[in-house]
Amino acid sequence: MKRYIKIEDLCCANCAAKIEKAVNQLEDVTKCTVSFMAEKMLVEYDESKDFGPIFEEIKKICKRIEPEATVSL
Amino acid sequence: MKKIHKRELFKIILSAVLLGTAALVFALVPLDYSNFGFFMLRICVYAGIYMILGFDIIRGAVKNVFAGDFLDERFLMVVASVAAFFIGEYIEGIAVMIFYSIGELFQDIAVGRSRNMISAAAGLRADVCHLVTEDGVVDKEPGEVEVGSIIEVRPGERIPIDGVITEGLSGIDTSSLTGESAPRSAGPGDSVFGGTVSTDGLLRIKTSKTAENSSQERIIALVEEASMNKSKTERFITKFARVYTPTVVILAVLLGIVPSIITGDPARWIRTAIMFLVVSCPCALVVSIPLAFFAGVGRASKEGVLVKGAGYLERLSDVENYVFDKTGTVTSGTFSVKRMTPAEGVSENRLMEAALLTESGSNHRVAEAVVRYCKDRGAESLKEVLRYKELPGLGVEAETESGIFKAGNERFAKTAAGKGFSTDGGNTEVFVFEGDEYLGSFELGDNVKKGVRETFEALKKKCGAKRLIMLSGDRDGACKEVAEACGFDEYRAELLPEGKIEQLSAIIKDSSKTTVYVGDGINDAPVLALADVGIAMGGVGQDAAVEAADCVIMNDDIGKLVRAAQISGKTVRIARENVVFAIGVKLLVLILAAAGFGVMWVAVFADVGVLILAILNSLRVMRG
Repeated sequence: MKRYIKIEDLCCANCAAKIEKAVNQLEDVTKCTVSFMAEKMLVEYDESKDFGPIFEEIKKICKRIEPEATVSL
Repeated sequence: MKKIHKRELFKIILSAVLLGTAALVFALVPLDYSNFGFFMLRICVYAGIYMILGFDIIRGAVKNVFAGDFLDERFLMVVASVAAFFIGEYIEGIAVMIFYSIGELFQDIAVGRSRNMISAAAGLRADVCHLVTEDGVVDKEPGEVEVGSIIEVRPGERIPIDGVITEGLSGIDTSSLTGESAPRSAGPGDSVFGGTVSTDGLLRIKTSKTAENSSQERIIALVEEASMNKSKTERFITKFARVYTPTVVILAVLLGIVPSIITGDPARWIRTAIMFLVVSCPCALVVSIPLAFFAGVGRASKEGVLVKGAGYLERLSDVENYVFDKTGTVTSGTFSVKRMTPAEGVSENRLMEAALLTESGSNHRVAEAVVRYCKDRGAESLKEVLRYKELPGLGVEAETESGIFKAGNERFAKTAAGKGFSTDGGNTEVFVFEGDEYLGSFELGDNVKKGVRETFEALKKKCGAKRLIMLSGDRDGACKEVAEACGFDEYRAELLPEGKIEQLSAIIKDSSKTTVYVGDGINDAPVLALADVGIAMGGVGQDAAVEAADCVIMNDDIGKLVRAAQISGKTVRIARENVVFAIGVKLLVLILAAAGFGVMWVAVFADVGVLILAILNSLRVMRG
């Protein structure tokens, strides 16, 4: 499954790279790409898994690395 | 300016004012700072000022350090400022925070601005939609309008949603979608696309999609998502950043400790170390590349070339082979007469008159082309046709008072007992007879699109293309003629779909550079996918083509290939300039700092200045 996530007020390109790396290390995420310019994240995840908990994890990561950013679907 | 930015700016100004005041007061009031009480007073005042900006930064830093990220830029700034306090440079410690915050604020604002400037959304989205209801016309957000509603579009307004015109006539300016500058006229029954502009008439449109699924939103989404596909240069810089930061931090630690012990002058060397920490943030480096590509993709989309990934845009700058499909790509797919050959002793007019007599009655597209050709040359048929007979798959017969006229294909000519006709078997031909007498033939071919030859010359001269190759399923004779007319270097005819794949694979294997395949995107999806960059022509409203290709030329203008290559070249050049510039300035500042010439201002410039220059440089892609 692929899903786009909006990350508004993403203001540091290096943070975007860090978020991408951290989300890629989540167990149920097969692939994650963050576009700093588009302020969007593309997550590919294990179809058999529920997206809710994955999204919560992603939110947590974003909050830690970029506290000003707001994450939404 | 956003609220969050205003708050940040307020904190920066407050800290700067308080810092200035405190520094002045402490300098004017001679207190004995060896006295513990006064010493603590001064530290506490400075620490208080420090916390205005420092609190949030420290909180973020601590969180990240607990998560195992010691190279978090906030953490590095905290270390730098605490180190300054440690050597008694309170003002410098606070200055680190102030400069860091100014830098961040500048970055935010600059990046936000450039995002808006480049974004495709600005030129494509309509803010309002006039919905026609039973109680009159009501203004709604385009997103609230249901499929099948009737909406009104006034002269000069942007069409908010895809649909079909039910009332009104107007010119439609599709330049925002296709880059095509001449408006086309549209009336009832014509489909129109969201994002285009109705130039002069009042239209009523029945919506066929929701705003969210309309053309403009798909393009905006594609352009934004293009940045998900990263360029090689961007991957390089991200990797570089991963090495850069730890290296500079280690150097900072070493420079802060080792020379201090040797020279016994810790203040000088710790200051150098602080400078290193300030410059260690790789943000300006990392943003400079995607910024350039984002601008490049944005520019291309404004000219009607949709590039679906930064990586594809990058590859388009270095194309060696352009491989084309024939029908519908370099040719328009419509027939026209290429050559008229009257039989010996037959005048052109007699041949054309006979052709008109027979072919006027048929609506076969070959017949239509012959009729058009003859009429264009002023031929007229004066005889009256008494009876008309169509022989399916062969030709037609027209009976007049003076005899029977016949016209048909090769098979027909052979069976029609005509004599003296000849054929080379290359193109489609029509043979014309009066009774049994052969009058001559018309040779038909597909029309080469306008500007193909010029485009090919430009691709070779300006864009560095080496081989132009045509792959076609058509007959050899037809391909040869088109290939010569267009200026192809090579062509392969009579290919089955698998044959095209084989041929393209071989071409790709032969080249270390990019191989582009250009097709109509409808029946050549596998070939488009196989090429380094698959380009589909004529993508407006054709979702299948947009889906299958890496890059879509929205209208039918093959000349856009040259623009795509030029925009790509410019983007790549600017991205490279950004890299060299960003890394260069950072290194220069590091060297200056190590040599003891560093000033905090310069260190801040290394980050914010580089970023702003990278933005300005990237915006050049949008111009010229």
